[in-house]
Amino acid sequence: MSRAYLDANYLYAHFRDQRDNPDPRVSEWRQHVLDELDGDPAVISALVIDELAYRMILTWLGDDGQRDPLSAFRHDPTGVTRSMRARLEHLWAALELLHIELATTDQGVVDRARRLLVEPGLAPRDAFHAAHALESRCQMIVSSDADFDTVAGLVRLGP
Amino acid sequence: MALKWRVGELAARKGWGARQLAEHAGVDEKTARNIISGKATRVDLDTIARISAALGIWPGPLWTDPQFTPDRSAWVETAGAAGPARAGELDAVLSGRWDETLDPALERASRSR
Repeated sequence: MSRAYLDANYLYAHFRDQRDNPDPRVSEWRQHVLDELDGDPAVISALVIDELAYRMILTWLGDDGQRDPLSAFRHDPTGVTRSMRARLEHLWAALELLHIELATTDQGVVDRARRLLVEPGLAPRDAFHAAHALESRCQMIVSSDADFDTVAGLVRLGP
Repeated sequence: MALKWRVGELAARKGWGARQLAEHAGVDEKTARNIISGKATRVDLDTIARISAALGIWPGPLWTDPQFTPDRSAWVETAGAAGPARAGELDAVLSGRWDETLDPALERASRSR
């Protein structure tokens, strides 16, 4: 059993997996994660919600036929986000069903992230993800991002 | 619905009964036995801290709430909740090569207006 922090890329793959034709890589990854969690809730932070929403909005713009989702979003971030309200609400309802624990951002997380920026020199958002994981006493981070392999005290579970 | 202790299950994973848990946590054996059996309802914070430290876990998993225990079926049911991936979409995600220009922090920091 491991206490595990879920990176946004894991949840993105989970929520975009094709229900009728599941990607075996995603299914296998999910199986490993559930085996590790062994009934315990997974952990995320507000950063994960932020990244998931942002990535999904760009993806949904692409689904709708927008050729340059990033430019469309930058042109009118609030309008685009508002237009995605129904899909976002559906996504949050699905997330709610998973009973994921939300790690709080406190002084300990900030101090830890500052140290991780220096050693091993993680990128800022990665440092905050890893800091939330470590301060929440997670032994594992579920992510396809190999940069987390350099963080002492965290084992990465990738696809 | 009341919370339920999971200490018995967690201690068993280490091969510990009440005595071993009490020794590792530095708590009274009777207290450890009552917690493991689920009879304990009033446990002080120092004991909780000692037990979670002995088990090497954050205190949260010491209890479970049957109403909020995630089950595997929820993960299966919610797969694809954001719509089906387009061909090749998940390749970059799974390989760890997500486009960095799509990082929300970079996007916000570089937004011109």
